[in-house]
Amino acid sequence: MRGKMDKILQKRKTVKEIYFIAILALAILVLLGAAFAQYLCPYDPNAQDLALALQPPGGEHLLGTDRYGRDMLSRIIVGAKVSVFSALTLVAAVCAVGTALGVLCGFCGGWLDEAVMRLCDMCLAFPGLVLALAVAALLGGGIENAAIALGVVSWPKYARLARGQTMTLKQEDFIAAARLAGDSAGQLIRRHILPNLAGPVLVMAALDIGTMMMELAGLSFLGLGALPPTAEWGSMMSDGRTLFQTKPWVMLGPGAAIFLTVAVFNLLADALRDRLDIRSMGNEM
Amino acid sequence: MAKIIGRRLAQLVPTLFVITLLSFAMMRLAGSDVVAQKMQNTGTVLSAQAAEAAREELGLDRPFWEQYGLWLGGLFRGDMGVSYVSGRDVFAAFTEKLPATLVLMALSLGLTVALSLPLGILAAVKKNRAADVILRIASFLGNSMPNFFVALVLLYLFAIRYPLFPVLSSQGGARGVVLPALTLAIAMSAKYLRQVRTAVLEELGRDYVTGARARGVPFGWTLWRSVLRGCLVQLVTLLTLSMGSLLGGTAIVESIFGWDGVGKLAVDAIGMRDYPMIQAYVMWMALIYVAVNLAADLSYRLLDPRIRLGEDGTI
Amino acid sequence: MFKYRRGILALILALCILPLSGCGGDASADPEQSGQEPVTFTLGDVSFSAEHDETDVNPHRGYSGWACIRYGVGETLFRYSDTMEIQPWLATGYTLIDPLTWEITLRQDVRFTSGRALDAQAVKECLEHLVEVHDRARGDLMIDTMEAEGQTLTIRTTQPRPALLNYLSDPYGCIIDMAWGISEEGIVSGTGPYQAVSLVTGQELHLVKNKDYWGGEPQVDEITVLTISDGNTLTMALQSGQIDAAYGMPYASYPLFENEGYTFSSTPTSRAFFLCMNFESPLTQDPAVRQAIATAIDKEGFVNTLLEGNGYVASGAFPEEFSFGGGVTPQAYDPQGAREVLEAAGWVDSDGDGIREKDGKNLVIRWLTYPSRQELPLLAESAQAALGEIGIDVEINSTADCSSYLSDPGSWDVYASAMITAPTGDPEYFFASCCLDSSVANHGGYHSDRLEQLAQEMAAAFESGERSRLAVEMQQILLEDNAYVFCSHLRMSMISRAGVTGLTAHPCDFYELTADLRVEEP
Repeated sequence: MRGKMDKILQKRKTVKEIYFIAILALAILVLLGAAFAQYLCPYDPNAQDLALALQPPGGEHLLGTDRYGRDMLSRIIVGAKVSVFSALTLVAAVCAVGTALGVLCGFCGGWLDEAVMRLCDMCLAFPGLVLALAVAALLGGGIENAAIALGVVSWPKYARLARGQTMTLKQEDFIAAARLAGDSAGQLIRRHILPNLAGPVLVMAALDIGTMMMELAGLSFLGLGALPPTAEWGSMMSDGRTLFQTKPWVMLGPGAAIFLTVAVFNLLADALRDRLDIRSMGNEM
Repeated sequence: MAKIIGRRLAQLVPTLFVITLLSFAMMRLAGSDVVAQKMQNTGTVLSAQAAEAAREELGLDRPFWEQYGLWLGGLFRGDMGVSYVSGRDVFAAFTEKLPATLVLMALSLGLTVALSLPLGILAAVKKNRAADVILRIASFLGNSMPNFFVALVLLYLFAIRYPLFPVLSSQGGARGVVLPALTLAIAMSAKYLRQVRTAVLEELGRDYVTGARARGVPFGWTLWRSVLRGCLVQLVTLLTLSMGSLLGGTAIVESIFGWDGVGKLAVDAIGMRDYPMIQAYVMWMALIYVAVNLAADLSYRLLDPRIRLGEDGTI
Repeated sequence: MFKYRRGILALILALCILPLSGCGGDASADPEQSGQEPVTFTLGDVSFSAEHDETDVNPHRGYSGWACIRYGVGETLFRYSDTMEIQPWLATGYTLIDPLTWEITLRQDVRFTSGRALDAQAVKECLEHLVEVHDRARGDLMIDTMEAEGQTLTIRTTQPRPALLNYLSDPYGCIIDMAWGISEEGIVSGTGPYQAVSLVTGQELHLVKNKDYWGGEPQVDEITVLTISDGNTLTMALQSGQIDAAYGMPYASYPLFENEGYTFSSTPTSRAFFLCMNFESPLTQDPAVRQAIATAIDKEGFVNTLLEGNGYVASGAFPEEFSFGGGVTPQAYDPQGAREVLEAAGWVDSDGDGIREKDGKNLVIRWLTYPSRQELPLLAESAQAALGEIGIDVEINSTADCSSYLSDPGSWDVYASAMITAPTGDPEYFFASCCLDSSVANHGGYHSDRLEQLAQEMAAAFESGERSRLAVEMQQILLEDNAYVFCSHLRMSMISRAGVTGLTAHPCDFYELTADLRVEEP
């Protein structure tokens, strides 16, 4: 009886393991695809051929062409580079800065903690997209400016998470033991705090990639993101929206790309959370 | 309680200072000033002397801090300057459109709660059964779609294919608000449904639920009396957190649906580089956000006595 | 504490129910569709906004006169026929007493919506205010003195103005009652079939019919003009029946309306999509660069594919059909020739990045344009690819706030815009407003001695054959200098739902809502 139970549990674990690896592989595949986008395109994504404008999907052009006769598939593939990597870089930067500050605050406390936390409050006082709109107004469009604005309001989330976790960890016995064993502060952080922090932070970051992608796309949709002829999913959708009813593929292609990529990263966040056994951490402060 | 509120209000002072300072600095950073803009808008050319005189009159030749002080003073009197584009009083133009945005936000929050709370509980109670699986997939889909995409699909479906709602929401009376509010609510509900589900599951696993069941208390009653209250705190936290994206999200949705609120006003102003208007938008949104956060913070204490101030200072 | 919690629960519950009851209640109540409703008409327009300097219906402000005349609020002394000939409108006729003196007689039966009768004194007051506040009008009309006597207005100009009547027919020439004034919202009292009652810039304009209209009582009681800047929204608004007609529909949406449910009214116009070169930028000062740009743009492809045939390839500033239109020879489409020209001028791609350089500086053209005319971003992006082919990198700046970039000559090289080149049915307007030293809109700082000289000749030429000949010669100068590149002319279409009649596209693009408008329920 017990043996059977174990087997079922074992099996369940294996299935979960396989699922996790599959999702991870999918996410890596997306990233690799984005990284080597220019080698994967069947056509030059910016080459126009007005004679071939608005070809429906199928045949020579698998996903059809846009109104300039550019190959949609190639543009979507190359668009991954802009859309995915700008979100990824943004999240990586924000995550690194936020976590570093949070750990320092949690570890050292005192005036540093107070100052950084007040700074957090101030940055959090501006709703993300609102600030992004303001920055776009000031500096003009461009995906970099949009990313900067979203970055400014995103780091405090990580700082707060890292700070809280560090403060909890500091109370743990194994830290005290390590400290007694003569570990320096740097060693403590590197060996004990960061590894324990990694899980929650990673889950939050994975979730953020999807959110950031959608927000960047939203800004592009308003014309405040990528500039032409850069293939970027949000602006491609914006360009194609007048064709929504007559030539739907021009908009649905990049739309599906955003949807699928965000979905992959959301699934990854879920799987990661499951695997690391972190309960509903990612969506909270 | 009064002490707590007082302390939280005191903490707001530096935040408010930074909000106003940043909003003001943004305008100065923009490079062009009111006089240059006005000259351009009216198409008249002032002599350098006349322009200088105009600047002096407006106090633009004074040092930064003095100007900031003047501006802040004006702010308290409801004077936020005039729009570069329409020449209208910014404060009046802005406050005129603010209610529309607030209505949209309130309705979408209401819709979100109305959708995610019952569905989340349903998913939790029917864990791993068909209803749960379907709801989880739906929530996942809703979570991965950009709101402008949702907006266009909703428009196409419910204004063109099945013309139940107007395309131009500001023209359609009360019915006009449904689609924009739904657009905003869909993404949020998708997120909260999962949160509610998790929270309810957690509560259901607690001893008191088992105990109540054993005592023969009807399950619905337990759910209503105890479980729901357990997840309220979490829900309020989430709603507060999403205010940020909601405030920004209204800009996109208002533009698409032509909802005549401050989001659309801001997007138009950005196009025309109407800085006083953008400034008003950024500042007001930040103020609203701060106020909502404060309210949420205080409501935790009402909802859940376990949280008491002083343990951490912040939550 | 417990009490509060119950309150919050109740609040949340209320929030859940509120939106549901809200939409349920509205869905059931439908107050429209009873017998004695007033006849209403709703027009969706993409261009009525601050972006086009059309903030209200006050003809004395910027380009707001366009809105004033389009929506039937104001009328001018003379108007254009369908073939762009001058016809009397508020005037009954004129006499040219000497090259400087015009005697204009006015209709007897016209009243402003304010109730005041239209007489020479009213017109005089209006024009006096116009030239006082409106730079463009002042430069065009060159009014020296005016005398009003009964229904006769005598205008003396400072110089001979052969095209005075054409200029008076410009939308800024809408005659309004200055005694009634200009409201804070920018509402005026005109003589047209409709009277503006309220207005929100960039949002909506409400009109009611002018019951005492001198041309007969209009048949539509209430008109709403909605500014809908998004082409997609405009499309769906017409599809859903929220608007009865649309101006500025995206071409991509045309197929949706090409059926018996809708009517198209189309006409060729003199609205040109053209490039203006910046002569204050070192790059576009180079004649080779200008020539390369002029010869590398595929106008045919732009018109046939991107405009989906809704336009005409332009040779010069004016459409071929105009008497002063044809007869010019533009640069032929020749990308290979463009490459050679650049090569010969020392622009070569020596580092192999696909962009030519000279003296270590890349050939990067900053292309300024604006998005509210749907054709312009399309032109920009197709030109970007075409110029990229010949080694010119193009940076597009498509912004609603073009005017502030234009005033800074260091911020752009090429400005692509859309303009009605002959709104007055006369060629002088275009040159006077865009190409001369004295022009308000000579954004690129272009100067040609020969052109200035010919412009002076035209200013004094009363005979129309002579004016046409001069116009052709002047266009040719612009084309040879590659100072302006004319890409296409617009075929303008208005689309209305079946049941709407009398909404007719006019070649000058500014007579839209007239007393002929009829609306029947679908």
